[in-house]
Amino acid sequence: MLFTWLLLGGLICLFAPASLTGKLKLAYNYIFSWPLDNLSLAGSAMPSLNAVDNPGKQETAAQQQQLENLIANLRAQVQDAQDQIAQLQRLRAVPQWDRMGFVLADVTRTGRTQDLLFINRGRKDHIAVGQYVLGDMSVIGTISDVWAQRAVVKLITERTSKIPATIGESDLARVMDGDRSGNVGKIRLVPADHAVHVGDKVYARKVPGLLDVSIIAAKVTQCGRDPENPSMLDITVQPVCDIANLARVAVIVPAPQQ
Amino acid sequence: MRWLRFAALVLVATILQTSFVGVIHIWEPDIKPNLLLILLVFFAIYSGPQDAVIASFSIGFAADLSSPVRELMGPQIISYGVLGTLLSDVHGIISIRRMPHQAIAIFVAGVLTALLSYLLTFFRAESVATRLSAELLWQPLYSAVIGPFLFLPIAWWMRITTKGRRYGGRRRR
Repeated sequence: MLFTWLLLGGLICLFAPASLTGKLKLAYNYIFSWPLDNLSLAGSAMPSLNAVDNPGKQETAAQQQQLENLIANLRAQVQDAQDQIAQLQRLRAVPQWDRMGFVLADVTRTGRTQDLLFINRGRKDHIAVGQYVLGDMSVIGTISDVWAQRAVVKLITERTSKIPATIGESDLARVMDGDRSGNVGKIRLVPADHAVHVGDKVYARKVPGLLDVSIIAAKVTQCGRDPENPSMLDITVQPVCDIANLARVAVIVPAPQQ
Repeated sequence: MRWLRFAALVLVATILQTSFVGVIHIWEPDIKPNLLLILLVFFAIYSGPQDAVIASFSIGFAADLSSPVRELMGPQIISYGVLGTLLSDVHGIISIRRMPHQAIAIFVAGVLTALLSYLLTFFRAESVATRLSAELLWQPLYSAVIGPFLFLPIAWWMRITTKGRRYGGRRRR
């Protein structure tokens, strides 16, 4: 009976998804990385029993190098997977964010005007135009173009960007426009009697289907009366995220159906 | 059966098999002894039937963890488990206590486990970058040569009786 159960377990492992068994192997390599690394190095430093040169010596050295490269690649994969897990855990730890889905993407390059980012995720990863993009837990822009495996993020400072926003604790809903001068945004049509101060936080307002909760996007850097319309305020904002040094972003996608 | 000692022994053997055993290869890196195979035969011979089954499958699990075939587990769990159990049953009929017999048992078990593992891996449509001649012939041969000599220290570690001597126990008068 014991033999039957253990054989069944072996068959289950044999037919289990490769992703699952691969994680088990990665876990073994990670947990025992120290002895595996050091003993491999010690082994390669010692002279082998076969001291005679033979025609296959170069081939064996190449094979050994390949195995060492494989180990290094596996270790890098483990580290990358752990970084992704940590980032996703931070996103999900925020209350009410668990209703949203996130797709992590790497920034591959920036546009010439520095107001666009190219990311390595696209339609195949359920990315669509209009979806909000987060950087450092703040809204940095929206998806403007998408292909099969890559997409373009239009930052909130891009001159055609228009994002519904609120300032501070106020319910006053306005639109945050990108400014032609670059790297800043503008919020217009705010009545002059409205209390807005430098340093106030600007939130991307929630949009059903795209953004389930308001998320911080920028902060007020300048505030004064609009010279062309003194009854209104001219508010300048800057993103709270250091976009220039951003390597990875999270795209807000519809949460998977349960 | 002292399972903690068994677990430590299998763990050390797995780590050594993956990293250090290549130092004692002959001619080519693939031709090196298989420590897990030696452990399999040892526990099949010197453990009770039930313990032998558990030990065989556990050693197969460790062999799969350290296998270079990416993301595939199961072939060596099954091959080690089945052949370890068979060997334990055979030992109940034909005693495998003498060193030449142990060497033959290691060689035959090595060939059969390698063949079965290869077939199961092939069945899963996995291409395996391995030299069959090394795994089916030279590795089992090398393991058969040095295996019986390793049985004594393994028996000492596991506190298993061999040849009427008891380790760590009192002498009866």
